[in-house]
Amino acid sequence: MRRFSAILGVALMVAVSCTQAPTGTIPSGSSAASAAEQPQPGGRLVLSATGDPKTMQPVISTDTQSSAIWQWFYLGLTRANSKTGQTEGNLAEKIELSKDGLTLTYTLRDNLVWSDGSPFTGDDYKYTAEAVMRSKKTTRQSTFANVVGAQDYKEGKADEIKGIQVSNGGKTITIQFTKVFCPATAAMGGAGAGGILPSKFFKPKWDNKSTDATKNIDDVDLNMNPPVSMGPFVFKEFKPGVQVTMTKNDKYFRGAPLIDELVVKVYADATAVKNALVTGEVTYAGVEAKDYDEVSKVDALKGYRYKSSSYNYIGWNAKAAKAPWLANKDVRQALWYGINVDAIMKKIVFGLGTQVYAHNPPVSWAYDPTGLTQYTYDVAKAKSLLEKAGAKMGPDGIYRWTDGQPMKMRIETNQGNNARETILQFAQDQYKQIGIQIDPLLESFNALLDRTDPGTDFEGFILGWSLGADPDPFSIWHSSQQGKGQFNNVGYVNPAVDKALEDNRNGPDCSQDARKKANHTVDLALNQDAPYTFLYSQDTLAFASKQLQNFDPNTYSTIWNAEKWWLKK
Amino acid sequence: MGRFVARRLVQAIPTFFGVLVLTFLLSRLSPSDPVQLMLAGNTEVTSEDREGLRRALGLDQPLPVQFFVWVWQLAHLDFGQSIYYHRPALQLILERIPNSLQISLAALVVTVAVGVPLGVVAALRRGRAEDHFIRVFSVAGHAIPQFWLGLIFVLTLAVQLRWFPIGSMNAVGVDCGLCWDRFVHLLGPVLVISIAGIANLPRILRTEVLEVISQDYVRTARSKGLGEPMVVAVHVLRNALIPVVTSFGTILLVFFSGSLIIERVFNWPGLGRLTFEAAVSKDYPVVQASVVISSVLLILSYLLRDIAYAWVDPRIKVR
Amino acid sequence: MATTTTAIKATTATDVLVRPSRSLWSNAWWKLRHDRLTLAAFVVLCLLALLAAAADLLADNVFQYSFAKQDLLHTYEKPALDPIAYLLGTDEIGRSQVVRLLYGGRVSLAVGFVAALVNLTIGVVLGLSAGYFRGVVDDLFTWFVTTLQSIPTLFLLLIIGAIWEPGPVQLTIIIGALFWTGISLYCRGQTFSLREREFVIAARTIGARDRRIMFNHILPNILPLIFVLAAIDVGGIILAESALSFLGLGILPPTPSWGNMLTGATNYFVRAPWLVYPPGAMIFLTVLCLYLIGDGLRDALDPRVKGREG
Repeated sequence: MRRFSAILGVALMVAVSCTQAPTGTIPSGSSAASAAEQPQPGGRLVLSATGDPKTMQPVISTDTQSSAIWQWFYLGLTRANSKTGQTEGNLAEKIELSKDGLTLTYTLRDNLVWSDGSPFTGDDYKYTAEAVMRSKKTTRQSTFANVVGAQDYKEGKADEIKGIQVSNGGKTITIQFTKVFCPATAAMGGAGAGGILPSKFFKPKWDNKSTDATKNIDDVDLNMNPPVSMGPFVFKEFKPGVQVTMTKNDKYFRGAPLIDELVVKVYADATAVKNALVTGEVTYAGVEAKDYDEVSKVDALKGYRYKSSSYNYIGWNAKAAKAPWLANKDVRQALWYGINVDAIMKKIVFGLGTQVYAHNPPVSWAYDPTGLTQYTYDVAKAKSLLEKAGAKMGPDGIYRWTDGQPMKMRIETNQGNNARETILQFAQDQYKQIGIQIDPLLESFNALLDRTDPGTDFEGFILGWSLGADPDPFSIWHSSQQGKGQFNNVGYVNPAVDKALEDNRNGPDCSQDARKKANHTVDLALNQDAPYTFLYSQDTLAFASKQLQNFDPNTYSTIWNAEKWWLKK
Repeated sequence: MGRFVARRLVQAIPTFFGVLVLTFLLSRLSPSDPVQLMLAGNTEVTSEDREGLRRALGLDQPLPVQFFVWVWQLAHLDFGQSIYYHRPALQLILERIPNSLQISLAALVVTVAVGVPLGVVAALRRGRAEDHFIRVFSVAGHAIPQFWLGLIFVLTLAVQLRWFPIGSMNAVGVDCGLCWDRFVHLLGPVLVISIAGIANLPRILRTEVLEVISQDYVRTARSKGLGEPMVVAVHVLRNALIPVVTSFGTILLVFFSGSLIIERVFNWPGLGRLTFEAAVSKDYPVVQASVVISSVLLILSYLLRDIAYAWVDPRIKVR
Repeated sequence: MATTTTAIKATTATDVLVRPSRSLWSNAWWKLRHDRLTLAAFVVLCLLALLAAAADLLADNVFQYSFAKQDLLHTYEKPALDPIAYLLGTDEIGRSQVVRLLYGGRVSLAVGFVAALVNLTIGVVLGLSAGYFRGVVDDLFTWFVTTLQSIPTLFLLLIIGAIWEPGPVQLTIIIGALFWTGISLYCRGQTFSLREREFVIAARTIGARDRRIMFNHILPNILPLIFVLAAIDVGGIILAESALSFLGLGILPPTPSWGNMLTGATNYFVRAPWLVYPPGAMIFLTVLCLYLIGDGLRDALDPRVKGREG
């Protein structure tokens, strides 16, 4: 599932922490290394966040601070394997896609119960899916674009989504598609929302079996007060501005966790998180590239570094009213040749990442760098491309475009992300050398999102994508996705790419080979058309206290084995 | 005294009204469209939806009407829903006020407890060198940028030397209010915020004490045969306290304004930090509620100061 | 009981005073000249202003580095004498800190003085009008001022900064529009008392226009102390602007301001502590000097504080 995010700091990481408060909640048992590897139960995990969660309910959750909380309580039928990204069973033990690709069947595990003992059934799944389709605040409805009856339900023409059927006493869930939907096995597991809600508790607040399309789950009080959990921890309390507290769920289907309590503490920004990490106040947190060196030197911490499923880029709005030259491919290529990405890698990312030249990041199974141009830094080439496109050098060192206007434009990005701010300033300097004047603009993240919504009033912007395990770039690159609130905000249109994206999404050949080929077609085109200046995929850098055992974070999940973690005293 | 208080309360009403007008204009005249902001998360919003919401919020009415509707809602303590948190704005603010008050009150206590004795000591010392020193000291306290001081405090004393916690109200897992842990966590913010006040007091007190000591009634007390310490304590201090109380006004302002920065630097979940985050994310209901409520608090504290002033100096009441 | 102690020397018209009396002005001037602290502060401030004004010259000739010049190969350089541009080290993209401090000084001082000027203008005009015309004008004025004073100024500034995201010029004007209450109250108070003085009544009798009376007669009398308030004002404005820039809401990078040089620098405290102390120290020094000067001026003009005349 696509998720639009900025790499602002680390939201949640699971970590075991040994509190350093003088009162000490951890019994100081014998410190002898005797039965050293025997897991010891008890203790408290402290994670960090850079803001309060806005909601604890997946249907209306749109930001990482929120998902970092509810992911502990509300799970999906499937999950991505933390290392490979392949779909594997979570709450479901069997997933079957019919030969014609139009029917998906989930079989749940036996004896699944919520933390209060009540059973988890397929009805919970269906309830969540219907909540998504009726919600006015969700961004997840596209998951059900090809499910039979979803649109009717949304418009109030039906009192249920006919394409989702629960049978076999709630143990089997069958989904019917109108078209083959290749990402189905990966994307449908979370009922669109990413996590499945306990319908028993939510139903009295909003009844899904109705045709009243004006009512929905958006403002229910349970959204901030998760009543039960299917995950390893149960919600206990939320102190706004301070922390979220959770206790262990003995009924977790993978086994009760060894850790007693999990706390997510709120900090003002990434630097405060780093300080907390260094002083031992939190046990596990991610760090920015610039801090990696410094934090590596802390004895009590162990470092983790792995590839991430994300990348940073400079976007160029081909529909920009004030910069008509951005519609020209040569100009965009020049912009790529004109910035020294290698220097960025060395000095801003400190070598802790990989340069990218197209959309699918190196960690994805669809990644294929063959045939991609690397746009090595070349000022002369950039200038010659600009001149080929019709630009003429003006007396002040700035090129004039074919309409006589000086080539001047604005690049904006969000404050608080150190790497992006630095890249912005670097870019300003670099582009001056190829005769283009840049006006830098720093703004709040929300303002940035507002301003770069599909439209004509922005030129360049620096942002990042955080991608799910299934390679489905449809919502970012398809020409139909240029509406308000959608993700193709650079106005990219390429019929060959459209076709490849449709093939990748709706098959009919959903084999990995076919999809990999389709993705490669897309990547090649993006590489040549340069709608973005693709920059780099930064490795995830994190540190955890050495006391945390069995901790194994990877690209697609850090918390996949949370029930096995324990604190070494 | 009662009539004095009542009179001052009545005088505060037009001020409060002015605050309401100012706050209202602030948000209504902003460049962003509140409806747009509120629907930011919604992906399938049609223009009918937008118009409907606009009408529901009363945003299609002329401004004065909107204003009175808003004031009416305020009278019912309805400050609206936070766009960002989806919870009542008033609730968010009330949650945070006790946290900020802790710092302010502690800072007030510290300022007086440290500043007054320092002032007395300073008053008893004459001489040019002392003059210069006290003058620079008092001015320096105001000149030092609070955010810089707080930053250095956190970076050196907390992160590098680990003498102090890096912020927050309590250590993780500790949940007490009036206890040692809280005290330790309060030290940093309180010290930084009190510096300005502490630096000022010796100077004010010194000038006042010097002036008062040469006054007639002190001489009278001396010739009546009262011992020197008694003279100082009873007569001088009481009159010298007047400007101290007056300076509370500035001090309170410093606390409120400073709270914004200090809370951010020390990771304190108070009203200042909430306001900052709300302003940055353009969460108007919270920003409005915060401005209105802080103003009320400030007006109330000015009132308290005036009452203290009147109590210390009986001449005031008569005026 | 002792007789009234010191014999009061009877003065007659023929007695000659031992010393010629000093006017307020010469007394003030005398006090200032002997107030070493204020003089020192004045000198330091002029030096800073000079350095800031000469930023271009210095950057080109002495340091040979512009404030925007980046050098990703030399980030976080320790302070060194060679090249001279590394005098205070370099920041996260290799810019020379000493050059940026100079330019930052320019920005901070410019904002400070211009905003103070705006302050002064608004404050004087409003205060004089309120004091002179009294009645409704005064009531409105008092209402407006008490309202402004009831909202914590930095709060207001921050909110305006976050909501409107103003550029540097707008920011200066906005700051100017918020800090004038002190000056205006002083002007009003003074105008109240002065308007009953003979020279004002005389002017009115001749038929002088109100505006003339206010600006040509009353204003010159209160001007001195206004400058005192203005000096203190500039200090407060510089503190406010740097706090705002530090929070990311005032002057935005890449334009350097002492405040925003600290926003970034705090991230690198362990790696490069030389980036954290200088900007803050500059703010402190400048504001300290301004406050001392204001203080000194006030003492000099205050008839209660004795000069040489006993």
